[in-house]
Order: sequence, then structure tokens, then C-alpha cells
Amino acid sequence: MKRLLLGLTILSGILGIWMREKELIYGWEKLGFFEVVFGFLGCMGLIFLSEFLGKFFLSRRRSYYGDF
Amino acid sequence: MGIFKVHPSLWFFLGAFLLYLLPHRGRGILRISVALLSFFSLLRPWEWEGITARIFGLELSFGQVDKLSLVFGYVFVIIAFGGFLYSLHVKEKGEHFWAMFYAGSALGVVFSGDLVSLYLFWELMAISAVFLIWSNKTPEALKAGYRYLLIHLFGGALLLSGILLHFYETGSLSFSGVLEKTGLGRSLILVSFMLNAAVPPLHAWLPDAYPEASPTGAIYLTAYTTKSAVYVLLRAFPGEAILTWFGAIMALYGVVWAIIQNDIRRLLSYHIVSQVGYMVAGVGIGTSLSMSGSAAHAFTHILYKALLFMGTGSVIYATGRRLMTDLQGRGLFKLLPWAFFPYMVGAFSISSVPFFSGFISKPMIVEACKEEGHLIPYLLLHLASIGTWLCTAFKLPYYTWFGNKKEESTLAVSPIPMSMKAGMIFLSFLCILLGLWPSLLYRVLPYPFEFHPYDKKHLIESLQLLSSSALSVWLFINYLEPSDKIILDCDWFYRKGALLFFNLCGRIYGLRTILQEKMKEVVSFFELLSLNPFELKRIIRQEESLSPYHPNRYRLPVGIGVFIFTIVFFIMVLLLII
Repeated sequence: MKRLLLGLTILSGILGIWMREKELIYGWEKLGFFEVVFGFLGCMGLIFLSEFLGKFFLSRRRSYYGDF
Repeated sequence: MGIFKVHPSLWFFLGAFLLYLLPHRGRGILRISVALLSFFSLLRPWEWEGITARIFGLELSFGQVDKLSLVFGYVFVIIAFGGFLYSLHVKEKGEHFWAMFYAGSALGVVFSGDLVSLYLFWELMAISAVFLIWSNKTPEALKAGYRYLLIHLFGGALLLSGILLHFYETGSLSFSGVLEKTGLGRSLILVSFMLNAAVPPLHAWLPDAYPEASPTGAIYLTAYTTKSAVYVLLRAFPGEAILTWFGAIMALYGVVWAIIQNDIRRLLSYHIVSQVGYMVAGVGIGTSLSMSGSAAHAFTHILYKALLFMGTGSVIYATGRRLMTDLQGRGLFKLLPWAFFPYMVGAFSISSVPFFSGFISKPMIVEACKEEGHLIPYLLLHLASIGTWLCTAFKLPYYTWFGNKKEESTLAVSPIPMSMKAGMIFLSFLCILLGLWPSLLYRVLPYPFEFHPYDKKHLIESLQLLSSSALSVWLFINYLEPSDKIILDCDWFYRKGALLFFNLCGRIYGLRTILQEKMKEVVSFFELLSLNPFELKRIIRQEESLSPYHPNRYRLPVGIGVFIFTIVFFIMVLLLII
């Protein structure tokens, strides 16, 4: 599964570079593979941010609210 | 065709009362017929357009029809049909009654032409939703329903205050277009709409209440309250700049909180917050593309979110379990494939996977955000879509139907009724149909725009984002393992806050009791003193046996005292005269 996803990611990156367009709004779009980097790092960031918030600030035992 | 002169919401109100006259099978036929008749009424809006009624001297308009109200009307009726189909096996009359009332009220909101009728249907919708939550008949549902009621009564009070102030400021009760920029009245109306749209920090009622409803009742809840709020925002507050930011933050907030949930329907409820964030941002951006995007996303979202709730609702129905920690590793995929595949259609739709419904609506808003140069909201919305993908297409299905642990014990699973399967097939079909045939939806959208979801650029960007984030999830899937804990949110302020308030009231009451006791002692002291002032020492020592005042015994000291007082008084008077 990991290999399949890695292959797809690389393929999509190559496709992005190969077929990038000229009329772009932001500079990073010229790279053609911005979404690959953003997707990978963004996903990792979200997992660790949520787990950090959950573990250290937001988790409580199930009976925390009692009758309320 | 006089029969279609009936307002679409009236079919639901009439049907709700007729339910009680029919047996179980008849009730199912009635509900399906009501949804179909209402849809036919929607197809012939000129028959009932402009319906008014004079109530308490006010001319109320119930038939405001334009492309914006119609697109919401269509999807509200379609989802009522899907929900009725899914719940055909349910014998509980109360749930059906309130579901029909809820659908009718939501349609009432959509076609209201003035603020008073809007307010009436708005409140009716809140009450119906509470009874739908209570239909689950669990202690948790009862408590969550009360909290929902309190929050929405507060929202209703804000709306009413806003309407009254707006009327005072402008002299108008019309709700046919953008609300004039005036003062406090308009702001209060906006806040009440934002509360129903579950904009943080006014959102906690949603993930608190929706998971407590029954598997069938929750389907309606996911559709009406938040999306009718999106409708009123689109109508009255297009281009309200602050909504772009609120929407973008909301989209990410919902996703971050969703990732750490354990309850499958609470996780999906946070994704309602997140997805409505896109719609709110679309309203805020205020271009034709973004606002059509909001309407389109409301349409597709209602369908796929109901489908996701149907899939997870089927799991709860079959197993009686709702926590991923209780479900994972028990081979549920083999036991409940009927819940898994429709769920995945919903997951692909919400994640904007090509050829599924979300792909034709969500990028409209994100693209509009980019075109208008809102860089940070654009990045937040983009990031939120990654979170949606990781959560709904990986975490929830993995830890519900599969999972890391291999438990020995198997689950006792009840068979899923045919009606539930039919409801899921119907919505899966619509999600795929819209994904494959976008013009079906685009032609009914309210504002003119040009957008091609299946152009080369969108497809490649989508493939890049989905594949790279899927790789990231797969590498870190173990970090997503749910834990048997609850996650705090803004409801802490009124749940723990209420406890603090009660404690404070208790302390204030205690202080009052102490003061009362002290005053009683003071009064009793003076009472005893007045009986016999000569016993002062014994009164202070609180001795039991006090001798009563005896006039003869104290005649001399009292007489001397009176004599001295008279002399002093005489001298004072003399001095004043001189």
C-alpha cells in the first residue's frame, strides 16, 4: 500500500511538472508539485497538531462532565 | 393541477398529523408520498409563489421563490425522501412526526419572504430538532437535547431582538435581499445566523447533540439547521468580509477537533462544522463563483453527510456501539460490508475525490478564494480539505471496520434492514451521479459563473493532494489511534460554567443564610434587652435564667436616671434659648 501511494505521489508530481500552466496566481504554482509537498507536510502537521492538543490539553476521562 | 398549489412545506405539516391515523405500513407510504408531492410542488413554484397570510395585522410572506431558495428547497426535499426511505423500518411515530415537522419548518425558512415568518419557522425548526434528539430516549440524548434547546432559544432570542431593532431602525421586515447596513439589529441577526451555522465559538451544540440522536433521526439533523443558516447568510449577508475568515478558521477548527474524536458520529459532526466553514467562507468572499459554490456545496454536503451518517448509523444499529475503541479489530468489514461501501462513497465525496459529488462543489469556493487573493483563508481551506480526507477516508473507516488490534471476541451484529440499505443506495447513487454529471447541479445554481471541475489543472492538483496526504496518513496511521477519552470544546464554558454558576449561587445563598442567622441573633438580643436592660451581662453571657423586670426593685436607679436626663435636657434647652 505504501509503495502504491508513493508511486501515485511521484507520478502526480511528475504530471504536475510536465503539464503546469502559464496563467498562475501564486508563484509557488509554477513549481508544478506544490500540492504534493503541501499535502504531505500539511497532513503530517495536522496529525501531530491534533494529537498534541488532544494529549496535553483537551482529553478528559469519560465521566468528566458528570450530570451536566 | 390545483394539487400543486400547496406550499411545499405544508405537505410535510399535513403529513405529520396524518401519520397518527395510519398503521405502520401506511405511515411509510404516506411519508414517501409527502416527499414526492412536495418535490412536485417545487417543480411548479409559480402555483404557490407569493403566498401571503395576514396574522396579527402583519402581512406575512411564505412564498418567496427565486433560484437561491429553490436550490435549497430541492435538496431539503430530496434528503427528506432519503431519510424517510432509510427509516421505513422505524415504528416510533414521534420520530417521524418531528422529522416531518423539521423538514417542513426548514422549507418554511427557505421560502420566507419576511423576517417574522422566518423567525416563526426558525423556532419551529429548533423545537422539532430537540424532539428528534429526544426520540433516541437515552439519558445522554435527554441531556444533550436540553443543552441544544437552551443554546437555540438563546439564538432565537438574539434573532428576535435583532429583527425588532432592525424594524425600529429601518421600518422594514422584508427578507427578500441583502439586509441594509444599519446598526445593532443587523449585527444581532448575523450572530443568530452564525450560531445556527455552527460558527466557532458558537458551534459546540452541534457535535454535542447530533451524535446523541437515533441512527435515523440524526440524518435529518445533519441536513437542515446548518444549511438553512447558510441559505439565510447567502441571502442577507453576501460579501460580509468577516465571514471569509470565520469560514476558513471554522473549516480547519472542525477538522483538528475531528481527528482526535473517538465517537464515530461526533467525528462526523465536527466535519459538518468544517464543511459549513467552506460555505460560510464562500458567502464572505461574495463573488458569483464563491456564492454559487456555497449553494452547490450545501447541496452536495447534505447528500454525502447524510450518507456518512447512514453508514455509521447502520454500524450503531447493528452493533449498538459507537466508539472506535469498542469497534476496532473485531472484523466488522466482514460482518457489515453494507455499511462500509456506502460510507466510503460519502467519504470520497466529502474529500472531494474526482467523480464524487464534493469534487464539483468544494473547489468552486477554494478557487474563488484564490482568485480574490485571500491567501491565508485559501491555505486554511486547502489544509482543511487534507484533514477531511485523512479523517473520513482513513481514520474512521480504518478504526471502525478494520483496526490494529485483533480481538478474539466477535461482535454480535443485528442484520441491517432493507430500508436502511435502500436509503444508502439512493444517496450513494446521487453522490456519484452529481460527481459524474456536474451540470445537473450547476444549471440550478443561483448566480452565473464559469467553472470546469474536470479540467487538467484541477485533476492533477487533486491527484497530487490526495495521493501525497494519503501517503502521509499511511505512514503515521498509528498516531491516529483513538483513545477512550472525551475531548473538551467550547461547551465546557456552559457545562462546567453552569456548574460554577450553581456553586456560586449556592455560596451566595449560604451567605444569605448566615446573615439571616446573625440578624436573628441581633434581634433576639435586643428583644431580651428590652425585657430587662439590667440583665445585660447575663444576656451577653447567654445565661438561660433571666429574671424579669421588676418595677419596684429598679424604681430608684431608673428614677435617678430620668431625673438626671431631665436636668440635662433642661440645661440644654436653656442654653439654646440664651
